[in-house]
Amino acid sequence: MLSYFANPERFDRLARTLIPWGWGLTLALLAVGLPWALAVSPPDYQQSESVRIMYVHVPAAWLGLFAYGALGVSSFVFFVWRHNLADLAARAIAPFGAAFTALCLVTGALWGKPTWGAWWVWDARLTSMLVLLLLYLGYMALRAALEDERLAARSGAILAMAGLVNLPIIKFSVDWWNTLHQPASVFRFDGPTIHASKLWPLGVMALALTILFGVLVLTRMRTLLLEKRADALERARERRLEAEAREASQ
Amino acid sequence: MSDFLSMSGYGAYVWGSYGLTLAVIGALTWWTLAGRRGARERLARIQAQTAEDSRSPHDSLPRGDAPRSDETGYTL
Repeated sequence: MLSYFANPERFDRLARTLIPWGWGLTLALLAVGLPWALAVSPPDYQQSESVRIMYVHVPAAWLGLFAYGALGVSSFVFFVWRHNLADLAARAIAPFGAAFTALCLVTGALWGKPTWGAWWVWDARLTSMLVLLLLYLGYMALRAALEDERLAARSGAILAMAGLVNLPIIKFSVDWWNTLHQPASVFRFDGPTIHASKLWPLGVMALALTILFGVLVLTRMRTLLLEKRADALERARERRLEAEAREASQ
Repeated sequence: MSDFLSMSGYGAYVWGSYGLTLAVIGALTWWTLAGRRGARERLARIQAQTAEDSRSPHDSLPRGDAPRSDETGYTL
């Protein structure tokens, strides 16, 4: 099925159908999720109202990780099977993944200050998240720096795949090292330890941001396809004009 | 209402986080849609130039190197 949609035109048609639904779902979920997170869900018995930061901080963190996973998988598919659309996906994902990782770090600081008494601590979870942001930025800088598109795609893919090793480090950083950061409370072997009154709005907000991420990536991929077509036409036109100039000078 | 805004004294942190989140969402959406519009306009401009080329009077050259449809779709 994936190879069926690896055709750029089929992909474009599918994306065009999905994108409006995605926008609608994002708006509907935000319309439910934001009031739920900000007003309906109860305050925490220790953290009081500051716990509401969780409903934006945690989805941003998940998306930062999820997007990097998707970047790594797309890079792998491109590297092994040379599917150009996979490379396009990797390119499209990176800036959004970086933005959500940065949002996670800043909302984390805004949560850390009142809760821990510090905006930032150099512990394993925070540091490995910062490394994730640097991986995204490094990936984008590398691709932007290499003129040769083929080389940029291949070396970008290698960097993205190497960076995948950071994902389990982030996930288990709270178990492997002493940290101020709380341990996992949703994705645990023994089930979530967070109460349903907080788990539900968290789920709605996470779904809203994930669908938004999907819509943005699909739109960006369509844009990159347009740019490819424009590049190809421009190159063809330049070749033709050069040929005409040569012809005229003879 | 002022209770809601003060968030038991955590107002700056809570509202700061949500404001920032909405700002990031808005900026990403704007950037994405503006990029798409820009790419559309660029493609339309180049297509118009290409069409203009083939209408020009001195145009009697073979069209052998005009882009084939499979070439314009994707090259890498």
